[in-house]
Formats: sequence, C-alpha cells, structure tokens
Amino acid sequence: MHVNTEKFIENSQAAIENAGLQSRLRVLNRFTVMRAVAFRDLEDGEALRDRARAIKEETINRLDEYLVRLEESVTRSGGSVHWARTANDAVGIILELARKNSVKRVVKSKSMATEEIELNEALEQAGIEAVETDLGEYIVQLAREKPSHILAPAIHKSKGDVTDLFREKLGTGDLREAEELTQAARKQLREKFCTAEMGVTGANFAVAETGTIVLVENEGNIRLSTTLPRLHVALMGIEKVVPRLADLAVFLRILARSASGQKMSSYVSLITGARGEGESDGAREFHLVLLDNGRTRILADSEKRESLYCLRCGACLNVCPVYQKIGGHAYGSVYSGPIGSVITPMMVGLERAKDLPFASSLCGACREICPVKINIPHMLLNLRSEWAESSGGDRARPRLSERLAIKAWAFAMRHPWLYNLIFRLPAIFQGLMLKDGKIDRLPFSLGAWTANRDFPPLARRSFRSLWRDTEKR
Amino acid sequence: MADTAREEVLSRIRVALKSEAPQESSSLSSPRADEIRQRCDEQRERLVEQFAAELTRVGGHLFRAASPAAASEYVERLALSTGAKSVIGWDSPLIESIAPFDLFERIGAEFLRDRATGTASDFVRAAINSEIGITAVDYALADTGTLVLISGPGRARSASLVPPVHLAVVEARQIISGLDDLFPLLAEAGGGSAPHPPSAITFITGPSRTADIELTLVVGVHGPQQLHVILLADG
Repeated sequence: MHVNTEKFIENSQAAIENAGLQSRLRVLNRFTVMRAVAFRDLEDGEALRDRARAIKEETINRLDEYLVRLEESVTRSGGSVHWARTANDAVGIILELARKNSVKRVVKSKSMATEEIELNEALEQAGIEAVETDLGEYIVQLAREKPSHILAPAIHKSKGDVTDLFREKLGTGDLREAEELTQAARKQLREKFCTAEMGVTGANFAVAETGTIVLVENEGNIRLSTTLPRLHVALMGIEKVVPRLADLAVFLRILARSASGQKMSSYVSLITGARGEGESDGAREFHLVLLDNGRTRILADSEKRESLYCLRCGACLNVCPVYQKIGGHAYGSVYSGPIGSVITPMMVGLERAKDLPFASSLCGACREICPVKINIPHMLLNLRSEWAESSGGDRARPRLSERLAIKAWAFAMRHPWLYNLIFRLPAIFQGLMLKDGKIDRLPFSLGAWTANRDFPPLARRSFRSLWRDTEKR
Repeated sequence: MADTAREEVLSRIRVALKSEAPQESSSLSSPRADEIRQRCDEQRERLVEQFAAELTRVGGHLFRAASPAAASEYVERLALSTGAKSVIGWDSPLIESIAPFDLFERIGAEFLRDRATGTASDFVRAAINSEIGITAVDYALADTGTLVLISGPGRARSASLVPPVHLAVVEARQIISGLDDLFPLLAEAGGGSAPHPPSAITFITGPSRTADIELTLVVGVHGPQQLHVILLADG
C-alpha cells in the first residue's frame, strides 16, 4: 500500500488553506444530521448496535473457524476461494484469473480493499483496462486521483471541477448540472458494463454458513458488475465474515443509516456462487479472494483488535473535527479519518504514520457515532503511548518547557490569589486581541494553536465568581 | 503456493487468538416461519399502508390495483407514456395475466419473456435495448418499502436492473414487516438447517440514485431511473 503519511502535517496545512475544499467539506454535516434522523426512527437502535458489536466480537474471536466454514460454503455453492497473505498475493491471484480468461476489460465497483492492494494500477500495467463504475470513483479515476471519503470518494471535487474533467476526458459539452453529468457517466459506463469480461467487487459481508457475499450500494453499478460480465471476483478483508444469514437483519439495519442516513440503501445483493442452471444472467464463475495484508497483525494486538469490527460506513469521518478541516487526502492513506488513523499505522508501521494518532482531539465523537461502538479514542491513545515508549522511552520524557509549564500550573493551583489573577488579566486585556468576537492570534508559543483556528474569548466573569453568587443565594 | 497462503493465514490467526478462550457462540432463537406468516396476515392492512408510505418516500410510484384487469391498464398506460418499443419480463403466470403478449402487440411494442425452461440466451441483449423491465417479487418489506427478488430460471436479474424503468408486481399477501421476518422465511424456503440460498437475492428500495457530485441527489444512475410498483389486492 503506497502511503503519503509522512507528509501529514504539510498536507493538512495545504488542505486547510484550500478554500474550495473547505467549502465542500462543510456539507459533510448533512450526513450526520441525516444519520441522526434515521436512528431516531429506529426503536431498538441501541440494542441493534450492541448486538452488531457482539456478533463482530464473536466472529473475530473465532475467525479461523468462520473462515474455514465460509470457504466450505462458497465451494459447495460452486465458487472458488483464494487466500492472499499480502497485497501482492491478491494482485497475483486476480491477474492470473484475468489472464486465464483472456480478460481485456474489468468493471470495478467501489471497494476499499481493491484500493488497498492498488489493483487498478496492476491491471493497467498488465495491459488490462480497469474501469471504476461508482460515479464518485469514476470521477476520481478520470482525474487520476485517489478517493477522499469512503462513501463519497469525490467529495473534494466541485461540480465545476467535474464539468471541466468530463469536457477534457470524455469530450462532453458544457454540462452544468449534477443530473447531466451523471447521465453522461451512465452512458459512458453502460458501454463498459456490456463489454467487460470480469467484474471486481468488494464485499460488505460474507456469510459463513451459506457462502453468501453481501454488497450494499445505491447506484446499481455493483449489480451490473456482478450480473453482466462472465466472471465475478470479490475481494474482501478476512474480517468481513459474519456467521449466519440472519445476522444481516442486524447489520443491514444499521449500515445504511450510519453511512448515509437511509433506512435501506437502494440495492442490497446477496450473491451465492455463480449463476445457477437455466439462469439467463449473472456471472458464470465466482471467485472470492480473502485478504490478510496486515489484518492478522491487528488481530494479535488485543488493544486494537476491535478496529477489525469496522463496517466502513464513514460515519466517524463525517463527525470528526479533524477530518472536517483537512478532508481525506491529507491522511495520505486509503483509510482516512479516525478509524484510518488507527488502521493505517497498524498496516504500514507507526514509524511511517506517527502523526496520525495525534491527529485527534480525543473528543470521542467517533466512538459515539460508530455503529459497532469501536473505541477509537482509546486505540489512538494506545498508539500514542506506543510511539512515546518506543526508542527507549526518549519520547516519553516531557520537554523542559512542558515540565516548567506543569510546575507553574501546579504552583498556581495551590495559590488561589495567583490563579485568579492569571485568569482575570487576560479577561480584561483580551479586548486588544478580539476580532469579530474571537481571538484569532494568541501570543508567544500559544500562537500555534491559533494558526489555523480561532480561540473563543474568555468569559467576562469566571466560573468561580459565578459559583460564589449561587452560594450566596 | 495457494495452499501455503491458506495455511499461513490460518496459522497467523490461530497464533493471534491463542491466548483467548473461545467464547460460546450465542445462538438467537428466531421466530418460526409459520408464526411470522400468521402475524403478518393479522396485520395485513397496517403493513400494506406502511409499505405504500415507505415506497413513496423513497421515490417509487405506487399503483393500487383492485384486479388484474386494472393492473393491465396500468401496464399499458406506462408502456404508452414511456414510448416503449421493447419490453422484457420474468416468466411467471402473474405477469402473463397482467402483461400478456397481445397487450404489447396492440401498442406496437415487442415483449420478450425470460424462460423458466430452456435458455433465453439473447435475454441480456434484449434487456440492454428495452425501455421497461417487468418482474414479480418474492417478498416486500413494509418498514423500508423494499422489494425482495430471488433470481432463478425465468427470473433474470437484468429485468429489474438494465432497462430505465422497472415495473414490479407485488401481491398484498407478500408484504412482511421487515428484515427480521425475512430471514426465517428464506431459511424455510431454502430447506432448514443448512440453507442453500439461490444464486442472487436482491433487495430493491426505490430507484437507482447517487449523491457523488457535491452531495446533490440524482435519481437514475446505473440502475432504473423509475420504479413502478403495482400493488395487487388479495383476491
């Protein structure tokens, strides 16, 4: 997996200074509002989340058994199962399948796992055309960029960007409306669906007892990718297995609600094996590729094991104050946002992605919104402590300035008159720094805090003085 | 190499889990299929209204037909208003009764039916050039307005996917509460404890949609732009 995590600080800075990106990231709030509405209508929402988490926990704790059972079921239904230790293994398996079947064109649906193994690049190098068919992914692919959000891969692009992109790459005219642009993409991609020999998808879930692959979408591109081409190859991380078909009644009710605020997405496909005898469509061959690529390393780490419960709904991205400011690309990895800040360092090594666990205010919004209640803040803290403890504990020792600041704070806390003075003075003099009712530049080294954000002004009256008033009453 | 990869991944997992005592798997007692059917029958009227409301909310067009004849008229109106030259559909007695060949002949459209026996090898090609696809459904979920379609011979997936208009025929008795009801019924249909699901089960909730450009909702991307549902009263 190619990452650009080393440049996190520079990339974040650039994202914050990108006014266009900032305005597009502001619409993310809409997802969070819609999610809240969708969960409000769900009577047993909390119980469902707990149940979903329990199923994930049960599955992950017996992952070997469930994977073997999944393999048996897929094989029984006429499909083939392939195991991949690494991204290279997975790419090799898919390329081999493509070669064996003289595949010239592959239609792809959105899949984080295929992004992770960089399948498109590998297919193209082998002279095979790989076409992303999710509209957002298609836009990103045409622009030769990377997706910046799990659910809305092209969220960083404006409508005008897409107009220009389509004009340049597809020779379309001056298409101004989202509707016209979408229709242009539909027309282009229809042709690809009808002529591709292979469809490659991910999998939201795979059911161990039946060998069923579950695919959730809104556009219909996944259905076309699994219905028209001769071959269907599904690539999934080993953590996506669930025990029983009936478990889907739990997951499907919280997944779309968490992702987009829909009660149910437009299409859910439950695919078991290849087309049956006498059927007119559906792939004639079905292959399931099970991908490790670092997941067993996460599994072995009991502190971070629960990051494998992730459903890839994107809710934690939308609600994260850091993601909201910097967007997905700054994270420099396929997996962005709070959950990405846990997964990426685990996959590429903390040395290369050390800034990610620190890119969080630890506010806890991600944990609160997560459909399976993954304790992301705890894992970020754990990664920070690992970073501090590594290199013989050098990084764990606070700097002189930090030690002095803590000492001074402790002294002030023991001398209320001094404490009072320290906080009264800024309250009186802050008027000099106020701009539109906010402090946009703090003095001295505190300025780092206000470099990219405003500081709220201190209240005219302190909490202590308000408290005294209530006591008098 | 293939076997080594398998063994290696499995052994890595076993090593990673080594210190953990495996938990007892929790088994859910799901309600029995006949109980579900009975409950849904008792609540039929409420379920029908809920399904109608949810389907409309997600952008589906609902037509309530008191009789197969009324349903036929709707099919004809739809074919005329979309200017359909070619229509495809599932092979089912229900569809045959409300969308007979002579209906399409009368309005000058071709109608190709998938075949439950033998193969319709040119079906996908026909689907690509059709304006309307007609299917039955196997279940409908009241709480989300979802159609559940099971694929098989004569029940091609393309019919509900490839043409720009999908027309589905739902019988009131097929409406169940939601996903919790569905899986026990599917398991029963699949034959109990070791279920062999059909090659594809598709849930359809409204027309195809996207919001990938500035989160602006656009209806009709790769799948149908219009979803019409004829709700046939139990008779």
